[in-house]
Amino acid sequence: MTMSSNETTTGKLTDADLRQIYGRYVHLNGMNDYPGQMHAGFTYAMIPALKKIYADNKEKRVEAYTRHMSEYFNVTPYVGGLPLGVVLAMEEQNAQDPDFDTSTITGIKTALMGPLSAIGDTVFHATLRVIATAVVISMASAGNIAGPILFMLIFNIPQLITRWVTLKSGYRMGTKLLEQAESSGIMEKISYAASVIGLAAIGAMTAFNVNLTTALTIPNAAGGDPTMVQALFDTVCPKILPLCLVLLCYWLIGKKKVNVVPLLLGLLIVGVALSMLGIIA
Amino acid sequence: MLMLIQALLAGLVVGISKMDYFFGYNMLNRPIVEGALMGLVLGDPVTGTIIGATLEIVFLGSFPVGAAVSPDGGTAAGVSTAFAIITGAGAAVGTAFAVPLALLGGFAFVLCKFINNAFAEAMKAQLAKDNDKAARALFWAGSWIGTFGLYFLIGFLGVFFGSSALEAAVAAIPTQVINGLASGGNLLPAVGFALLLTMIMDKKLAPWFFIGFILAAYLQLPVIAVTLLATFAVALIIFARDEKTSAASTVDMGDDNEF
Repeated sequence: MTMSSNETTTGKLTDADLRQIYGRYVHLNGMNDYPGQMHAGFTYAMIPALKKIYADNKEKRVEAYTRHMSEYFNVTPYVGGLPLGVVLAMEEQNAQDPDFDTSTITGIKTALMGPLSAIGDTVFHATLRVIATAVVISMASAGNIAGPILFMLIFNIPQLITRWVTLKSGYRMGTKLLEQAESSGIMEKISYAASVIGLAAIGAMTAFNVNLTTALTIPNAAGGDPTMVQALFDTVCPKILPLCLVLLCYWLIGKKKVNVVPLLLGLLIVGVALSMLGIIA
Repeated sequence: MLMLIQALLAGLVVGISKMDYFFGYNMLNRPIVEGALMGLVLGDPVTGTIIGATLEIVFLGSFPVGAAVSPDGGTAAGVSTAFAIITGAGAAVGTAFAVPLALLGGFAFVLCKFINNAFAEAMKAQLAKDNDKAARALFWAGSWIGTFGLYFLIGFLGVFFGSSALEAAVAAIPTQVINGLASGGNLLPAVGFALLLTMIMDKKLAPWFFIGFILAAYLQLPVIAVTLLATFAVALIIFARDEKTSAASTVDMGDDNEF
């Protein structure tokens, strides 16, 4: 719970290592971008740990660096310690086991970020932030600068503690789980489960996090109100447009080998154009 | 000269506040904090705190959750406070430009993310060469140039050229373009999800993506519920497979194709 605790974890990384990672993990959201979101911050936080874990294996170290740099990562930053810790434990396993399937790491990471963000956004953004605002708002409305200061304290002390707790427990849980997994041979099952849960989570996030609706209408021949095409979609196949868009991008990246940055710029331009033409809302 | 110094200070506050993202997502970029900070730096913390509190209520519901573009109430509070203090017009006038400023701040973040991406690509290239020191430098440089640099410019230019110029500039952008940028920005998360799919999905597993999508789109189940359902579904499958393998070792292996 506290940062001064000296007990060692079962893995290779000591509390001192975890503290160093914590110091970097604070910057997790520092270089948020399209399309990877927090991928750079996530990789940045892990660099010292990966150097230690893969100390004598440059090839695997570089592979881990580039793998994490290439993977979308997005989580409520305050609870991001959990995937960070679990992933580090898995990287340790990967360092020891030549047959380790690294897509398991991707799967676990992806499976964790959806539910964790749901919890993290609710607890921190929807609840703690609003409570902190409620506590200080009358003070601040009267011009008392103690209001904003108190606001920062109410929000940030819990979030900074949560970061440490999630990082440490994530690493511990991951290490323990993987030690057992190695001996009982359930790694393949974890890998399968991680892919399934990760895919279901991406499916759900496609529905919620890609906002694409059409503004097209079908004129009513009888002279009444025109039919909204989106209303038809909403009844028959809700969120069909986000789904098609994700699948189109998947096809372009996976099959057509389109690079990501041109794809993003193209999408932005097409989006602006379609919106100005009144095709998308 | 005073104007220049005030504009520089305003740019500094807006830039540092936006570094909220770098400093641990710590709410520096909330109106209630950024307004007070601007007031403090420009010598009138009371006005700043009042404007910040007013705008905090306006923007309470707007928070950058997930990947969508959202209005930037913090930048609005910072620049509004600077206008109010510099023109001496007070808190009432200060909030008049809040909404266009928040939109400007929100769209600037799309640009910021593209700048960041250039640094991320460079960082990846350095890491591919095992050069972690250069990667670290690029992460810091990217964070400061993309976020601080851009928002410094917004604060500096906004205050230097004044509210009238800003109003004119915002008015000169057709609403269609502004709305278009918002719609376009909202499409971009699709690329992130597609990237993940290319890493995890194969033909055998693809139905799970659609199951997750259907649960969310038709049944409106939140992501957390979908993930939990998938967890238990996959547990059932693994248990069933285990029973099958232990049964198969005693019986024949002919019928393991029922799925």
